[in-house]
Amino acid sequence: MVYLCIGRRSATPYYIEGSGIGIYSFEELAYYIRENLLMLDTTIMDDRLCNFMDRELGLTDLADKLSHIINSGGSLTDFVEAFFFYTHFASVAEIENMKRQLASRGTLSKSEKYRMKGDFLIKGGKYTAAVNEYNMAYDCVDEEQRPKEAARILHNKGVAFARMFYFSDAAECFKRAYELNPTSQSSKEQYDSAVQIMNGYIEGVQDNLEGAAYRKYYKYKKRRENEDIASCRESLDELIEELENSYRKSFSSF
Amino acid sequence: MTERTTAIGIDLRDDYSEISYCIKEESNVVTYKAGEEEENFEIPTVACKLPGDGEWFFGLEAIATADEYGLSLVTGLINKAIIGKRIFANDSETIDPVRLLGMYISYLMELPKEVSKYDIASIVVTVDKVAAEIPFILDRALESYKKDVPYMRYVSHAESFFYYALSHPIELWRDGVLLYDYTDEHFRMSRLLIDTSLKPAVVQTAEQLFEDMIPFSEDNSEVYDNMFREITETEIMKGRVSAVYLTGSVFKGRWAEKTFRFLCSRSRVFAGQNLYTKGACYAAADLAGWTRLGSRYIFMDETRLHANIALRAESEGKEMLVDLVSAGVSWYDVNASFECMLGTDRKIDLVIKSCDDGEERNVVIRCDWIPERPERTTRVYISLYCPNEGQLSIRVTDMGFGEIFQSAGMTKEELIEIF
Repeated sequence: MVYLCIGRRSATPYYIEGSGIGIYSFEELAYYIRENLLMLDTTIMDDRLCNFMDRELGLTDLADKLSHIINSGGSLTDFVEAFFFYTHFASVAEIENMKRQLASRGTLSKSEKYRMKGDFLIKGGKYTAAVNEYNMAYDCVDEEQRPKEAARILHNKGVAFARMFYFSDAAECFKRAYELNPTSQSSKEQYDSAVQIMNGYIEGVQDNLEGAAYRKYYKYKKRRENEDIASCRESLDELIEELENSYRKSFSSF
Repeated sequence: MTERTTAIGIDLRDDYSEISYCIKEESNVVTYKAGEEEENFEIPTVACKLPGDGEWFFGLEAIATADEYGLSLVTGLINKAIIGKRIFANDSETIDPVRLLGMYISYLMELPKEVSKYDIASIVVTVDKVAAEIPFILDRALESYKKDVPYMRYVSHAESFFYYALSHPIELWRDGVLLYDYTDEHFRMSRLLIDTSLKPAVVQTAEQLFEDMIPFSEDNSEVYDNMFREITETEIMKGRVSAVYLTGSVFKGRWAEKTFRFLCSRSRVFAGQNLYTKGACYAAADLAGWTRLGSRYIFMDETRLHANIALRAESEGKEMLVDLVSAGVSWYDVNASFECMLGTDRKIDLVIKSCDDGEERNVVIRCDWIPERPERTTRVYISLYCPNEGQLSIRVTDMGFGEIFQSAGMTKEELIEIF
């Protein structure tokens, strides 16, 4: 299924303060708001954003409504509700859920907010930026007072390192995370995996392939047997890409 | 930007070509006269090159040059462009046949002194039948005009006839129109069929070839006149016609007196050698938006799509069909594009509905090659075109999701059969 785009795509981005992310379309803005509900604050209620939505995205009506909310002293909840309601981008139930999450965000600590931002950046493949956020999160947390939160931050930082193939740094993070939270089987397993990869131990590729990777390996093998060099190379590239994607998925954050 | 006010219609053939033009706000279409005679519009489709660094000559100038210097003419420029083999030109040099055709067309365009290259709003080229290669060849031949001229199309003689006939007062086509096209190669009868029960109305031509009329012989003109009379009588018995048009080189002579008297007693009759070039010019004026013929009538021939192609999409929580390509468009004019957001199923649903029998077909384009991302976080660019008659190419490009999810930079193409 496909969805009609809402508004235009802007040639120049709108930068949300403190996020480091440029927004080019309504859908990107909606995704950012949804994924960072717990970290949102009233800085997003900005007339510049309304101007951007009007001039660059062509969403004049929505921009007017949001501008009215800003200028009449409306709350962040009113702003987010209007944003999703008037564009029919979320169902009534989803909007109510978002309102509940917004209500609970006051209870989040600074380190939790930084960590969640790092988690958002990891999803978008921005691993270096994610590591920076995790570092700031870790600086705000007291390991002794909140070992599980510290472990969570370190584990996710390890995931960011692993996805950048920095296995040594990843292993270090996973190890510390496990030490802080010995109940975390995932941290232990991922530490073991990182160490294995560091030591160059990779089990027989063929034996461990399944699904799409196996099909691509089979295709590569067939072409190699037929001495079809050009296609062979293409299959090999496809197989490597599949393995890389699977590898990245195998390191998951909390 | 200054408004462009000239529309051009070119009847392009392998033996001779004709060019007409009209100015916006002026109702008459003018066909360039190749000579002093009243009905001499024919510009030979030939070329000749002086050896060495000599220039190329076209039309009557080419014939004169060839005669003067004892050189050979390059003929059949369209056919040679279709075949594609490089042409030898009176010396060891060769030339790309499509480039040569382009040079000939440029020569044609410069003939009417009233026409300025910078004032052309639209060009329509008409050929006997729009074969599969013709759009691509003419696109290349007219390359130098494409960047400046806003509108360009290629139509068949049948479509040109439609534009010609319907650009005249309704009294001349309301009850039906017949065309007789008689050359050394064919005797063709065409009747325009207009279905006004649909909106816009659908127009087709019913064509019939009469092999017995070929080749025409002046010595047996009475025999041909009798055969012609029989053909017209049979056709007119089927129903009234508002007008009958006669075109083609054989009708230059006055050999069909009996048939003409019969036709004139039944209908308005018009004879001329520039029907198609004028029709193409009317089409060009319509293309430039100066008339609204194309929006009120859709001409359907074998080059036109007989199906509507739509995209199934969701908007504001409701499912809808977004029209991408409408029936009635020529396959070589199909050029649609659309941006939308992909769902997590990574499928694009197209609906192809035949306008002949209403049959609907669903085509699913799978985009498993696009990386998995959350719902509505992949923007895709979909473009459609027809590489040939009967096939539709659907290209999907992953545009990613701004700075949040980078595009994989991939495009995949799928070909499907269409009606």
